[in-house]
Amino acid sequence: MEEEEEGSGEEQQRFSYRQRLKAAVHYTVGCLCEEVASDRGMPFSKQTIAAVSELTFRQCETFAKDLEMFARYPVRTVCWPLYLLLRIQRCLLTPVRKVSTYFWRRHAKRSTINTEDVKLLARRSNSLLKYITEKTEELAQFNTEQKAKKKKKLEDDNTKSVVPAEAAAAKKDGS
Amino acid sequence: MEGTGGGFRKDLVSKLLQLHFTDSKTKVSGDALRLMAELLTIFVVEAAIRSVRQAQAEDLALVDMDQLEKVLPQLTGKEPLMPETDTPLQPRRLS
Repeated sequence: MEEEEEGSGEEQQRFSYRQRLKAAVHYTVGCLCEEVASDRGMPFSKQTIAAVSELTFRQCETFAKDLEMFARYPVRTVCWPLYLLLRIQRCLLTPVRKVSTYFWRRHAKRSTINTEDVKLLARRSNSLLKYITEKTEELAQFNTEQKAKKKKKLEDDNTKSVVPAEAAAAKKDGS
Repeated sequence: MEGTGGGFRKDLVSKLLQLHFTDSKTKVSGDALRLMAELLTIFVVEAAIRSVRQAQAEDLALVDMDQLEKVLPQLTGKEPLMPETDTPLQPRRLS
C-alpha cells in the first residue's frame, strides 16, 4: 500500500511541476500577445491566448526531441558513404582504428546541444533561418568581445603583479 | 532596435526543454539557450500577428479561436513558417 502512495506522490509532483511550467509559459505568452494587441489595436480573446500558450508548450516537446536528435546524430549527408565504409571496416579490422578516429570524432555523440542544432530547427523557413543565423553571429561577436576584455584584464593584472616582483628582486641584488 | 519587454526567460526555456529530453545527460549550451528563447518568442509573436491579420481581414473587432485555427497550419510546419511573400521579421535585440 505504501508503495502505491509513494508512486502516486511522485506522479503528483511531476504533474504539479508540469502545471507550474505551463503557467509560466501562459504568463509569457499573455505578455507577448498583449504587446501585439496594443501595437495593432486588436485585442485577443482569453481563449485564444490560452490556445497559443498550449500550442507553444506542445511545440517545446517537438523542439526538445529534435534538438536532442541533432546533437546525438550530427552525421552530414555527404559523409554517409564514408561513414558506412568506416563502420564496415570497424567491424572487420581493428587495426584501421587509428585512421578512423579522426572521422569518429567528427561523428561522435554530443550530449550538449549547440547553436548549430538550433539553426537546424529553423531550416524550414528561409527568413527564420536567416534571422537565427544573424543572431548566432551577433552572439559569437559578443562572446569574442567578452573574451578579449577578459584577456586584456588578465594581462593588465599580470603587468601590475610583475612590477613588485622585479622591485623585490632588485632589492635583493642590492643588499 | 531595442527588443520589446516581453520574451521567454532562459531559465524557463531550459526547464521546458529538459522536461522532454529522453537522455538525462543531454544539456543545452548557453548560446543555444539564448537562441531558443528567441525562437520561442518569435513563434508566439508570429502566431499573434498572423491571427491579428486574419481578424483584420475578416473585419472583426477581436481575435478569436477561429482566426488562430486558420493560421495554425503555417505555424506548425505543415506549410513553410514564413512564406517568402511575407514581410521580413522585425529585428529584436537579444536581451
